[in-house]
Amino acid sequence: MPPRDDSFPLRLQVALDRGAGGEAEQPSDQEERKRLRQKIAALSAILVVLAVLALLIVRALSGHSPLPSLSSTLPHYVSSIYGVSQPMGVAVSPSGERIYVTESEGPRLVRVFDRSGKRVGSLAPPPVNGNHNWHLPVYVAVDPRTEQVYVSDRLREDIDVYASNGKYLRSMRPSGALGNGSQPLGLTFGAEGDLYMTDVGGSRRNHRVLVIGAGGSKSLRKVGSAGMFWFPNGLAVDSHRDVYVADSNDGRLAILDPSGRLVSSIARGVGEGDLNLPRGVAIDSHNRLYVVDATAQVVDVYQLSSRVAEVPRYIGSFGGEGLGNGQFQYPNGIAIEGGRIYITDRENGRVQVWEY
Amino acid sequence: MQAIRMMRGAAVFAAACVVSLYFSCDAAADNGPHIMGMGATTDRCAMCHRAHTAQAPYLLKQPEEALCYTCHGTSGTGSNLDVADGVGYSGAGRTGAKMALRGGGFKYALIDSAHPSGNGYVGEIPTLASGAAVTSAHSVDSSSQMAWGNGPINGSEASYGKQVALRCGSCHDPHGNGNYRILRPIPQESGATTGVSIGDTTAKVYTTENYWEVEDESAPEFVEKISSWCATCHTRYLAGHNSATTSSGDKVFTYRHRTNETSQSTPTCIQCHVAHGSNASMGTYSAAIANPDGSSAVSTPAGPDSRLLRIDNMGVCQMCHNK
Repeated sequence: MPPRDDSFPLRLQVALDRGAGGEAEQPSDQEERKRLRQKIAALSAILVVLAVLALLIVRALSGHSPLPSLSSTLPHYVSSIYGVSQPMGVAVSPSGERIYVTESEGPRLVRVFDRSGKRVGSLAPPPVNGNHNWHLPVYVAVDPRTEQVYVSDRLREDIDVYASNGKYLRSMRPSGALGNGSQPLGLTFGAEGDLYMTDVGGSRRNHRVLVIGAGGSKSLRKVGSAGMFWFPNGLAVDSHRDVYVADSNDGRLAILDPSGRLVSSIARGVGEGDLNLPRGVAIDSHNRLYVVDATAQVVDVYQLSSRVAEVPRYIGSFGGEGLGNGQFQYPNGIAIEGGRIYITDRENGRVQVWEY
Repeated sequence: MQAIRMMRGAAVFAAACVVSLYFSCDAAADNGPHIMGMGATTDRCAMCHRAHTAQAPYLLKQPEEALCYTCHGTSGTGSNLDVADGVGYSGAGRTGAKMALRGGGFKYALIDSAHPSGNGYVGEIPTLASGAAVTSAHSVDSSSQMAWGNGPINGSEASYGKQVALRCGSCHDPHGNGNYRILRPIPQESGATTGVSIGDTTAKVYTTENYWEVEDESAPEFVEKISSWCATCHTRYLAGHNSATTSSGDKVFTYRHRTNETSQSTPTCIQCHVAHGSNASMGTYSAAIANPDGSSAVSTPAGPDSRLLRIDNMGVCQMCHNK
């Protein structure tokens, strides 16, 4: 008996053995088995080709195009949250159940909405000299560990901190020589709990990014060098602690490595993906970078590279100037939770909700 | 050896160019993006304009007030000057001090108009710690407003002025023009044919801690020429010595307080009035003063029209005349 060919299917091998009837094998039998193997192989190949053809035909008939890669898509408009007066900043709690929106007109409160867009409350700091209206919240961020809400206030030149239940906790300023004269603007939290803020205090040469360590303002440090920014606004930090800063008046998105070195940027211009007056910045879980361009009236979307020094690849823009759904009049802030994107639409007095 | 020297010379020259360019940018009298002479290849036009798809006059991308307020309003995160709140954030050093804008504000102002002190040249109007809603302001949203006294002396018939639709750009040139606070020599819609250019300075003072002190010592031409500049619109308010006792010949603006002065110690338009907006309060008699055409002044939600005055009621009179 010849050695069993293990490449054969077991059942076929058994059949072949039975067919041999235990008799001594003849050369003609071997040839026949060889031919049979060839037939089976050819039949299998034909079946595979037919299956592939059938799949393609079914797809063509049903109108589905091949699935695009995730990074080439843009979100679509879903709805808007109204009842805010010239909103500037927006943040969303980690659970997605609370949306915080800063107002720059009217009573200038931080409005709080639930996920459905229903207003559930508002935040305001204590009065100054009895004046309850003298505050101007600009940007807002939620600490992912404690869910405390941090609000930068231009007039008060501080950051007001609230508990997740809305209770005012304290006001803080960066301390020490480094924090002297600071005017906090954009806020965001890094993965390690550090609070990153843009600072527009003093002259242009002093505009910068400050990082307050999770341990408190004693662990303050500066990112970037003197004169690097001109009214930096929103900012975002990726998982590698690279920092993306809307260098607003310079009309660019500055990208810094964790050491504060400027490694790349997206510049001002009128071409596709060029910027005008960038304000809000966010990064989603698919490493897509969003830059809100206030005067171009759009949100630009880029795909981040694995190498921070590489200029992010422009995917596309959404929005456009106007009053209709999905159109903007001076968009400013942005926040992302899961597949949901919230964008403040200042002159239209609303927060737009977009989704993938 | 010669080549090394040439290279060294070129390096020094290049460094000098970089340094001089750097400081020439900082030394430009116009500020921010409002700098004249941007060059043929500037990309700054696109910040505000569209050639074929503009949505507002002057090829602006959007209506002017909202565009200006994007940097200079309450939502203005692109400037130290919040003209809506009347606040100037410190731009001179890292003091952190915010101060009151000398022109007041269009929505709020920080004029402690109820607590002036002193009189004559040595006086003080303190600033407020937090803003109060304005009771009068120049318009910046293109709404119609009366430019009282606009037009020449008219002895034959009563003429009061001209309705104008003011915008930020009516008085300021956003492209920069080398004039103090980028003021237009001839404000748009004024109808003036002769302009007033006020020389610029690199060290402009935008804020104040005393609203009675209106001089900008770094720009002597400012106080010297500001009344003439205001009079490009309010033509017949410009009055010299003895105008209070000598008839101008005009049917309406017949006897007038002198304004045509050129120093801090003598009356100018801005000694009594602010340019943007005031939070001063007007009492019963002050509020009852009619407009030049006899119509009643329109009250604001915050109170009766204060006519851009720096002090409550007629306090500006008392600061000098102390009756």
